[in-house]
Amino acid sequence: MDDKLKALVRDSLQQALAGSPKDVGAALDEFGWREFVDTDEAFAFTALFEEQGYLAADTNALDVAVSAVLRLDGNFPAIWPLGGSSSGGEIGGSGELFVDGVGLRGGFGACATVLAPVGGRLRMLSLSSIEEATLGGMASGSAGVHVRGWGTHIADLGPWPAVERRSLLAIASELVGVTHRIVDVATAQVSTRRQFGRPIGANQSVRFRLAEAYVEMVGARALIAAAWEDGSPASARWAKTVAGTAHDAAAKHAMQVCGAIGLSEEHPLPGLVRRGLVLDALLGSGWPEIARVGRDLFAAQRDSDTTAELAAAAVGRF
Amino acid sequence: MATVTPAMASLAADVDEYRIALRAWLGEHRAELTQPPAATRAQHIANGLALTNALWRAGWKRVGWPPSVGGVGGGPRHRATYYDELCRAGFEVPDTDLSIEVIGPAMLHFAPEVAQEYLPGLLAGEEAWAQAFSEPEAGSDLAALRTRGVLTGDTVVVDGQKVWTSHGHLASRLLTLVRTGSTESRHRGLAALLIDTDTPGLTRNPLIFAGGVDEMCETFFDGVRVPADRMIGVPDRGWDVAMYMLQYERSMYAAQRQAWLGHRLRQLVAYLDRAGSDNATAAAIGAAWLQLQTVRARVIESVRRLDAGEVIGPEASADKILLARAEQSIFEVARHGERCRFIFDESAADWRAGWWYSRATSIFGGAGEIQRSIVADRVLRLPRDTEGGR
Repeated sequence: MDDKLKALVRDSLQQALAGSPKDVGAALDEFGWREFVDTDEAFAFTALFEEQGYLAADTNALDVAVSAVLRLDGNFPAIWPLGGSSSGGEIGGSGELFVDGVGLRGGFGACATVLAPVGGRLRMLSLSSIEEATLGGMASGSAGVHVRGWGTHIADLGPWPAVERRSLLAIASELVGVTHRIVDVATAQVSTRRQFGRPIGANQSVRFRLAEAYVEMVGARALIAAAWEDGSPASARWAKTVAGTAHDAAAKHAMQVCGAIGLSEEHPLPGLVRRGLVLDALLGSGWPEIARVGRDLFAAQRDSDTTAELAAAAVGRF
Repeated sequence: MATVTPAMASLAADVDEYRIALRAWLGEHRAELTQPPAATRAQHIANGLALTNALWRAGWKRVGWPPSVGGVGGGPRHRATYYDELCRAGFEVPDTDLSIEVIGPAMLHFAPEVAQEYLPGLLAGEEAWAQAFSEPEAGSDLAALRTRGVLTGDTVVVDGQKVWTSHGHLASRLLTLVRTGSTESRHRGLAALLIDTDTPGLTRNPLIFAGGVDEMCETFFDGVRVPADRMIGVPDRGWDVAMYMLQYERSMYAAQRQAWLGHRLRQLVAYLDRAGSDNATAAAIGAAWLQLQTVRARVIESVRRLDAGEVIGPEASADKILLARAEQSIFEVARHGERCRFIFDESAADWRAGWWYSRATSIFGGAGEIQRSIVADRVLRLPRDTEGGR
């Protein structure tokens, strides 16, 4: 795929995502996003979710992406785990399943066909009983809902880690998109806002903070690209962790340099901060992951005679 | 040990095959290539040269360089793979490889004849070179340098002083930047010059780095006569050469350094194993690992761009910033993970040396402040800090 086509795809994605449509599936299907998943999955995901993050669009794109990867006929909502890698389980030996997680869209109604990771597999379920509640805290105002439901198994769609890896990378790219927007918003503001007779962005401390934010963003973006090539579940988890860390660092720099207005609801920044925090929490927050990476390194070291195993774990190739 | 084979040329066409073959070869020859630890800096350089020379003779080091300088073709991706595999096998990247990456591509680009004559000696591990740019009054502000280079007939007469030259006192040649224009000419009046360190009028004093070794030197030039055909590029255009070098200095150096840091981090995990149950240490080493993977991913992109013939602009500063951060994090873990051992114990000498060196990584090759200014000015296009006001 050449650069010109990639730019066209990004334009189309921006149009599809504009205004956070309730269901972005139809618009994505219409311009053939699924075909790009077939030809260049990494680009299709990276572009869609970076654009979604940048536009702060609150859509069901992640659901649509999962259905595209699985080549399902139609787009199905998923029940996403907030932490861990399961959003449900079996009730006794009854064969009945329960789910408890986040839906990207409300309005499930009385019954629904949904996807959910249960016991290491991605399952398609028919829910016959659903409780739906709005999300609170940092997610209040978002389209997402807390879903609890009970139903029966329809189909086993394969191992969850394969889908989880792509979902983690999707969320990581969305975090990069949000971070990019934060850098742009802050850069624009400090370039025009004047104090002491010059733009505040002419002060070294402000310039350095935004340079740091930029470096965080491009580092996370590179790790996502390497993780797509690499294909390992671990590297996808690292990429999401690093993207969450990058967002956090950039958000703090921006909250400082944008001053009081940057902490008011008149400013786009609080929304971009909240969005990043919610994305970081989705499928497991980065904070505990950092220590887990360290513990995994110690464990791998104890299990092997040489350091070759750890060397093999390094992401990507030249 | 085997000499260069025709197979090497085919490996130059395929990075993956090169990696696999080199890994296998290093595994086979690891014992004979391994040398006792160096007791002095001079011995350390000599060990690196011996390793380089063995790999040159076996053909591996020739991959990534054009036939005009003794290579067999291939490019930056091969060279980055070479560093990866050396470190994976537990070898340190030889010190001269920094000079190779910084000086080699620029010399090939700006002065192919000089490269053809002199570069093979550097690539083959027969000679150590150093890069002598900084001066007492020109550190971060490189364009302020004062060492004069007066072109008289077919000779350039050099007078002045260089400082903080890594391994300059152990090098047989220095790549310098001298002023050919007026004092006020700033970056428009410079020239890049390759100077033999045994030239009359050139004297050097080693400088002891905080880690305790003679890591650097200062060099005095008193009427040093250098043949004019040792100039890289043309008079007054040395800044172009320096800027061209920077993309390699920031990206290729980061590629070789991240490979070595990967090895150090693996050693650190073993070193700190006893403290491994400490959650703070686990979190710190996890963070360092993630920072290292991040800079690795970033330089993979940069090296591929260089390999494709692209010019890397101000965005290369991100590689440098990410590298310094990762290196400093790794050695901070070494310091805090077993604090008393780090401070007092002879067995931690290597970690202490690495810690001191990590503090330099955000200073040499353009300080962290310079890198951030480059990003602010030329990537984000923020208002210049010279702009008005108080």
